[in-house]
Amino acid sequence: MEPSIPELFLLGSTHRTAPLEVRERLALSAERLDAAYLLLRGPDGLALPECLVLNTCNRVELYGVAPDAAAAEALRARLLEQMGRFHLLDPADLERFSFWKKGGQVVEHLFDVAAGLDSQMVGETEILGQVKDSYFDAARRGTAGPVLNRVFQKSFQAAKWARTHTAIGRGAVSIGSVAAELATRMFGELARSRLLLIGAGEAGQSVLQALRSRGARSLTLASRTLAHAQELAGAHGAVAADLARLPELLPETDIVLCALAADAPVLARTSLAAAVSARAGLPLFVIDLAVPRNVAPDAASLKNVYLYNLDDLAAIANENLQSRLTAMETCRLTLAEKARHVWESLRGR
Amino acid sequence: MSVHPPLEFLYAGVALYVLGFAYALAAAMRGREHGRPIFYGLILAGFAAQSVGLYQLGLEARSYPVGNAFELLQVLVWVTVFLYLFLRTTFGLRMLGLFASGLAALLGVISLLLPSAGEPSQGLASSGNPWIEFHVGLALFSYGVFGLLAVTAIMYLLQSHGLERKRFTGIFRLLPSLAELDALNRQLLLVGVWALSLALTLGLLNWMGRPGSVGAGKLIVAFTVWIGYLAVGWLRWRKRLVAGPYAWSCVVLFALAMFSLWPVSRPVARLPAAPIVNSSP
Repeated sequence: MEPSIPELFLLGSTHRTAPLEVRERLALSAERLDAAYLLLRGPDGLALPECLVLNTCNRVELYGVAPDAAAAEALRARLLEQMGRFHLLDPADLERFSFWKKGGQVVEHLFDVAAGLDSQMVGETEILGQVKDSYFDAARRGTAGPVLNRVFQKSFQAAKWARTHTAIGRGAVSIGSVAAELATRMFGELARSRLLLIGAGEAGQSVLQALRSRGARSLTLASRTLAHAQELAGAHGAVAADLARLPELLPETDIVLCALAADAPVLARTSLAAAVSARAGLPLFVIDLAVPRNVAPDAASLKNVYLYNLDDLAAIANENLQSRLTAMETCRLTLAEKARHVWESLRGR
Repeated sequence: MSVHPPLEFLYAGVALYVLGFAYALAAAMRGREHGRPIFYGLILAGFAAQSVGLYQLGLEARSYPVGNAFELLQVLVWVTVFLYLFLRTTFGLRMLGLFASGLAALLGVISLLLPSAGEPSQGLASSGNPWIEFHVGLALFSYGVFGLLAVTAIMYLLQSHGLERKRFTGIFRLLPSLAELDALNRQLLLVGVWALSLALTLGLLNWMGRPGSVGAGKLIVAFTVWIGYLAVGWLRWRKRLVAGPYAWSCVVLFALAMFSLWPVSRPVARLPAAPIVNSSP
């Protein structure tokens, strides 16, 4: 009698299959993750020889290995039932909002996930770190065996290949990351860059967050009244100022972020010209996120003033996204081929 | 047709620089940085070949191989590549390899097209005086520094242009930041001006010992280049010449310095040893 070949399977629920409300219910806290592993691995649960849980804000995926193909198929119903009970969901609902894959399809899917092809923001890199963390967690728990070890390690190589050889991760695709990338092209490390946020519009917050995530620390927050500025500054660990102080603040600032609700520009060409002249050749990056615009458009022609408005940033983000989407299909085909090789080599062992 | 043996190495050196540049340019056109092993392999092989060629020329001439414009340019290319390799290791600036190899390839090809390419090397007539050799070495070193300064100034201008025109793809997103380039430009200018000042001081001391040994044309041109860089440095220090205009000045000055090599190179070969500066301690 021929020895049975272990079967790889996956039960997953992601932003592609489940709405946010369902994903919120499926999300696993640290304690719930321990409980989920106990359910999958424990003798009172499914007693899987190998299993791994990938748990991120957009996906919960259970990777497992069954003794053979028939056992994997038989496990499906039990898994849906037990996981449904675990999440207080009807198994039928869980089935509706999830997907099931087996064998080579699992490897192909994992390669796509690790490379960021399956992410909400195509080509994002954070997911690879999350996949690695999940793998190391499973290895520490002793739930990753020969099959999962090989498949996950190969997925890291596949992700690296995709990032190096295709345009899948190239270029920023959100307004905040585009602004941060532009700032890096001007100032290099942002740790010493001084930021001035004018107004507290929502768009300004996301760009501010992106700039701070790249190391920018020094922040002054200017608003119409000092009291309002102080109120906002407290939340951001920033220095507060009112708009009347802009002429003295501008020469000391590297990046100006405008997000003030105003009918007319608050920064005229003359104020920026005076500021840039006092900066002795240092560039001044002005990001105008407000609609109507906060900065007089003719300031764009000033030397050493790099003025970008919302449309400019969006155009760059869209261009980068388009380039990623174009690269996606080629990337997917090559990764599928790589996944097939990995799966065939596993089956042939 | 047989080629003078040192020339074979110099031709090979230039060919490898051209290949390195073409390889890096092809990668940049696709919006990627060049693969390091291949690029550095080509540049290091070119540098090694050029070093051997110049060493052989030096042995033949029994002095620095700077007897004509061809040799002068070859030595300048060698210095530029040497400085690039040092700067790449120290500062780790992205895309510097593309532009530095471009300059090396351009100057190398020009040198090979000169009528003096292939002429027997005469070297320095005053090769017995180490101070003159030191003067020449320092002057060429400073020109190499100014060459790289022109390269980083062009990179600054490109980055600035890309940011002004809102260009986000291709080579623009690969270039180093304006701040990094500006800092390097200031340091290169400082080093170049110091080296040229010292070289000219040594040359001046020799000239004072033997007035008339150096033509007025050479003196005027050499001091004009020096004053030009000194003025740019002073204006930069006073923050009156900054950013784009400063970068443009560095590029234009280097072009002028290149043209000045011809009048400067001819008297160098005939420069007699000056008794006022003695080689003995």
